[in-house]
Amino acid sequence: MIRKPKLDDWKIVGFYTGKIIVGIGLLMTIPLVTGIVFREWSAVIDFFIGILAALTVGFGFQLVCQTKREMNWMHGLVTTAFSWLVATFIGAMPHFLSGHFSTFLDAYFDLMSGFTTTGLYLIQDLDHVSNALNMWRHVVSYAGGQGIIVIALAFLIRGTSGAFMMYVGEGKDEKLLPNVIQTARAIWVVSLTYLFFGTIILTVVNYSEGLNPVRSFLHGLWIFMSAWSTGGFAPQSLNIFYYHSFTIEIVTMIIFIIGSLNFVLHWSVWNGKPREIYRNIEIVSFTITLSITLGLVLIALMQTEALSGVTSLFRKGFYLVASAHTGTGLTSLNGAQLVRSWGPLAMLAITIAMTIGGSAASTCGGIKGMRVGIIAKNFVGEIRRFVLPESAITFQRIHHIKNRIIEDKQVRAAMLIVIAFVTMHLGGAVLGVLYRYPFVQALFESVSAGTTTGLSVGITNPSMPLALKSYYILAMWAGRLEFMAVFALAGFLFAVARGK
Amino acid sequence: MSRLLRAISFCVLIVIMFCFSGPAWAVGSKQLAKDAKKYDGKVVTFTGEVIGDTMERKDGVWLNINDDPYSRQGRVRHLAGFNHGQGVLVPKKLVGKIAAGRYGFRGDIVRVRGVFHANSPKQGGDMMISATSIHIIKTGFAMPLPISARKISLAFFWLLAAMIVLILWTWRQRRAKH
Repeated sequence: MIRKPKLDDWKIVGFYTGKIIVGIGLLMTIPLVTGIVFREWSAVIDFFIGILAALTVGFGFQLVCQTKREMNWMHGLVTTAFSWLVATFIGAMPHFLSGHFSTFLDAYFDLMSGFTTTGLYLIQDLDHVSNALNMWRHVVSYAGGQGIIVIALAFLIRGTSGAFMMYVGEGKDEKLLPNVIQTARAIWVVSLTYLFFGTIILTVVNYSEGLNPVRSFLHGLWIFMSAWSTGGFAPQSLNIFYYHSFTIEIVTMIIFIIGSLNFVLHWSVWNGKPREIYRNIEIVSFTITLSITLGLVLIALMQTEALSGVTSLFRKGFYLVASAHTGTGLTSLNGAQLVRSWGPLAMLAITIAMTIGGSAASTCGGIKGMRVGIIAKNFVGEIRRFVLPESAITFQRIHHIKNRIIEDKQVRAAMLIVIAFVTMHLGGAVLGVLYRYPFVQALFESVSAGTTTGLSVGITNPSMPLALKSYYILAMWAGRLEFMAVFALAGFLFAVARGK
Repeated sequence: MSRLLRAISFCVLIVIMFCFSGPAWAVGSKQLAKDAKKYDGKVVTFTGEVIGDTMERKDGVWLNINDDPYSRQGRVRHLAGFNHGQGVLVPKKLVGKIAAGRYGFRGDIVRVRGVFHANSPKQGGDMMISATSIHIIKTGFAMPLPISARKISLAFFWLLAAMIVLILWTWRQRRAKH
C-alpha cells in the first residue's frame, strides 16, 4: 500500500525549499551591486524586486512550514527536485523584468539553462544587456555548477540526516570528506580558489587581446564562471567566437576540461596525489571517447572540406568536440557553420560526445565517464567469461581513488541511467521531428538540452514551439539531477494522488 | 580644356577602380553563413552596428558587426529575436574613432568592404571579412532607459510583503527561543 504524504512531509520539503530560496535571494546581491557600480538603475530595480521576492517566499515557506520532524531520504530527494523548480522561478524574475524576454517561460528557460549549466538561451538582444544581468546569468551558471543545494548545505543548513540525500539528489554521489556539510564547503573552497586565479589569468589575456581594463575583468570573470561550471553562457551573442583569439580559446579549453573533472579527483590531487590523474577510470574513459569522437569529426571535416590547416582543425574541431564532451557548450564557431558546412557525420559525432559527458561528481551532465567505464569493463568481462573455463571466477576492477571491484548492482545502476538518458533524448528528438525539424538536428538539440551541454543547431530560439521549450526545460532539469530526485518527486506526487 | 581633362581622368579612374576591385556583393550575415562556399574569396560589402569592443591586435583591429533587426531600430527597442553578425578584421590605419554598441547605447552603423573568408586558415578557421575599407554611415546614440511606474509599484509591493514576512518570522523565532 502506498502511504499518502502527511502534512509534516510537505512541511519538511517546504521548510528546506525556503532556505534554498533565501540563498538564491542572497546570490542576487552580486548583480545588484554590479548594477549600482555601473549605474544601471533599471536593472538595479529588477534585482531589488528579485531579492525581495526571494526573501518573502523563502522566509514565508520557513514560517508556514516549521516542523520538528527530521528529514529522511525521501524528503531529501523531493526537496532537491522541488527546490530547483521554485528557485528557478524566483531567479527568473529579474530576467523577465529586464525586457529581454517575450514571455516568462522564456525567462524560466534561461534560468533553468543557467542553473543546470546548459547554456542554451532564449534571451533576445543579448549584445545590449546590462552588466548586472550578464553578471546574474553567469553567477547562476557558476552556482548551479557547484549545485544550489551545495550552496545551501555549505552556508545555510546545519546538520540534518537528510542532507546527504539532498546532496545526492543533485547528481553528486561522492563525498570529499566524511561529513556532507564539510564536503559542500570543500567544494566551494576548490571552486572559489580556481575562480580567483582563473579570473586573473583571463583578465590579463583579455586585456592583451584588446579589451579595455574594466571589460577585460568582467569578461574574464564571466567566461571563467561559464567555462569552469561547464556552462556555455557568454556575455556576447557570438560566444567565444566574439574574441577571435587563439589564446582565449586555449585558456577557456583548459578551464572547462579541469572543471569537468570529478571533485573527488580534484580533492585527491590537492591532497598530494597527482598520479591519480593518470590512473583514474574517468580520465582513461574520457581520453578514449574524446579521441574516437574527435577522429570522427576530423573525418567529417576532411570529407566536407569545411576546414583546412592544423590550426583551424584544432581551434574549431578540437575545441567543439572538447566543449561538447565536457558538456560545456562554449563555441568558437560562427552560428550556423556547424549545420551548413560540417555535415551530419560531424553532428552525430558531437552528439555522441555530448551524450557521454564528463566526470561524475562534477559540474557536467551526460552519462558520465564513470558509468561508461563501468559498462565497458563489464562488457569486456562478459566476453572473457565466454572464453575462460566455466569454473573460472572472473571479476573486473576499476581505479577511482582506490581500486574497486565492479559489482553487479553498480552495472545495473549505470545501465538504468543510460536507458533513462537515451529514452529522454529520443523523446526530444521525436518531438522535434513532429515539428518538422530534420532528425539529426532534432536529436542534436535534444541531447544538448538533456546532457546540459548547450550547443545549438538553431532549433532553440524564442519562436520555437511551446512544447519543445517545455520539454527542453524538463530535460535540462532531469538531466542535471540525474533522474533520481525527479523520480522521487514524481513518486511523492503519485502518492499524494493515489496513496492512503 | 583643363576641366575636360579633369573630367576624363576622373572617369578613367572610376573605370580602373571598378575593373581592379571587381563587383562587391552587398550581403548579410545569415546569407554568408548559409552560402559560405559561394562567397568564399569574393569581395563583399557588409553593413551593420559595431558591437561590444574594438579589439586591436598585431594584424589589425577586430570588430564584430551585427546586421540584425536591432541595428535598424531607432531609440525604442522592440524584441526581434537573436542577434546575428559577422567578425571583421580592419587594418589599423583605416579605423578611426568607432563607438561600439552595448547596454543603453546603439553603436555606430558602419559599411565595410572586403574579402569574405568562409574559413580563413590565417585566422584559425574563422569565418570573417578582411576589410579594405570602412565608413561610418550613422553615428551611435544613447538609448533611453526609462523605469516604468509598473516596476516601481511592483518593488513597493514586494517591499511591503517582505517586511511583513520578516517581522512575522523574527517574532516566531524569538517565541521559539523562549
